[in-house]
Amino acid sequence: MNLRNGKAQSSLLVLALLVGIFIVGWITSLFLTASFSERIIQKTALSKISKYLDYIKGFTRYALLLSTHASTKEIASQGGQFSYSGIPRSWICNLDISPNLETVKFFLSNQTQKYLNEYLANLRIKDLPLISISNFTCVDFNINEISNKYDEKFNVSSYNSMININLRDNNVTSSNNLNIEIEQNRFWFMYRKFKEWSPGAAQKLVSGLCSCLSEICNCPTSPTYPGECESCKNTCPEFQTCLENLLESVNKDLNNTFNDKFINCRWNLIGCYHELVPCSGSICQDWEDAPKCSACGFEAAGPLCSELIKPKVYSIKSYQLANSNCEDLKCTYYAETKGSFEASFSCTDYKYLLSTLGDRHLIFSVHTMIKMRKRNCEQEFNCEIKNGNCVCPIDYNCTPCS
Amino acid sequence: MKGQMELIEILVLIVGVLILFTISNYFVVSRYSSSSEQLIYEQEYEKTLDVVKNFFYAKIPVFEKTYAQIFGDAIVNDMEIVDYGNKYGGINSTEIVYNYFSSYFQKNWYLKIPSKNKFFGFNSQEGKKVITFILRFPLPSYNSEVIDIEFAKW
Repeated sequence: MNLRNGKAQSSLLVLALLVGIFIVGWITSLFLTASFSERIIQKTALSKISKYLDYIKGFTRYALLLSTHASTKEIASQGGQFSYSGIPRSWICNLDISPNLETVKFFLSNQTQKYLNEYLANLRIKDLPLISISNFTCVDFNINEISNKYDEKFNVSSYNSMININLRDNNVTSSNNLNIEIEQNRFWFMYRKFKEWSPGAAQKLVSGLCSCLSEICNCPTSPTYPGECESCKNTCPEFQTCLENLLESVNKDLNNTFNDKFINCRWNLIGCYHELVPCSGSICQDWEDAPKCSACGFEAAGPLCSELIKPKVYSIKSYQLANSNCEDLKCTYYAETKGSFEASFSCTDYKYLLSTLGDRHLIFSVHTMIKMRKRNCEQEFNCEIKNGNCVCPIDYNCTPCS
Repeated sequence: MKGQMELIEILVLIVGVLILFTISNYFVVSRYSSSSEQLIYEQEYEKTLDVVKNFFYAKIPVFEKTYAQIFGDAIVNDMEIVDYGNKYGGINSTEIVYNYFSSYFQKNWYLKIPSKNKFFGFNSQEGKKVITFILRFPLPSYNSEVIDIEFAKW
């Protein structure tokens, strides 16, 4: 009986032991399974964060490209600078004052950075987890010199932006610094070629205006048109035509400088102004106080000089000569002709089109202004006897009969 | 009599263990099942995200422009054939969008731009689980416009 009881008890113990082992094993596997699932979910979360990061970097990369295209288009249209007026920068003001590489880079970088940070500010992702992206503090164009190696492509880098993503208690911070290659954008090619053209063009425009000043001799002394700087087709058509021929010739030089079948340059005479001051002037020199068509601006176009030079009043003089034959004597007339003009030169690239809104051509425009004065209109007259006096036959003679 | 009692005890123990096992198993299986479902969903979502983010990186040969760039130019200028100048000419933006997404999801996707009233892709099939992703997409502009693009796959 005791033996039977002992056997039953040991069977019970073995069974309990087996059940215990099974339960422990089963609970362990339960925990392992749960922990495995957790690990997988954790791994998935991290992988998802990494993909979000890639997505944001892709977004930023594309935004940097668009920002560069927008800024190159804008800065090119303003001759290498940015101003809210939108007027192109002056490259020639009697002299070549074209912007240097650093200046252009400065404006381009600032504008690109502005656009890029605005794109990032607009990246509010409703579906995505908590993301914060700090602004870029610097955008740099990796152009070290004016060289043809940047003609077709160049690099742009953006710095100091951080991305922070928070997903299911996983927090990841990553640098958002970028360096991308911009292809099919010939901004630096156009800048390089304009820079090459500018010194020679300045000389040609100055000497050309000096030649054109003689055309003013037959025009009114002081034209009275109301505008600031406009066409002188009505006030002095010969002068206007002479300037147009000059600009055509300088524009031809610009096209030759580019020597590129996809680039087309054109000129625009913004306006011209002229004055004539009898019995004055000397060699061709700078007209310092030209009242109109003398704007020369690096940013916003400055106010034009509104002071008009009042023409000098020359009195009519007669000279009484005692001991000479009047018909042998001569009197002369001359005048200082003053002229100024403003013109712009724009070149359009038809090889590539940019990724911008509206007109997608890259158009590089520069402003030029020339103002010169020179003694011209020289004439000599034979003196005449009137009322017993030996006088000059013209009213505005500059030298008496002598 | 005592032996019978022991047998009943063993029986009760076994039944108790079985009940405990069944209840626990129910929770484990349901939890595991929901975890698996979630995992599958996460993997599908990730794949979608992967395809969408590659849109910013992958370039069209010869043109050397990303799909995103061509797509953006087409949307903002409202043109199907996007011109890239005298050297490269035009490219059919609609075709490249269809080719790109169909290569990953066959005819099981659509791309919608509500703000521009544009739709690319195919209509979703009823009963299929649709994964939708709202993509923020920068457009060429002078005010840094960013639009919502709804991308879905099933």
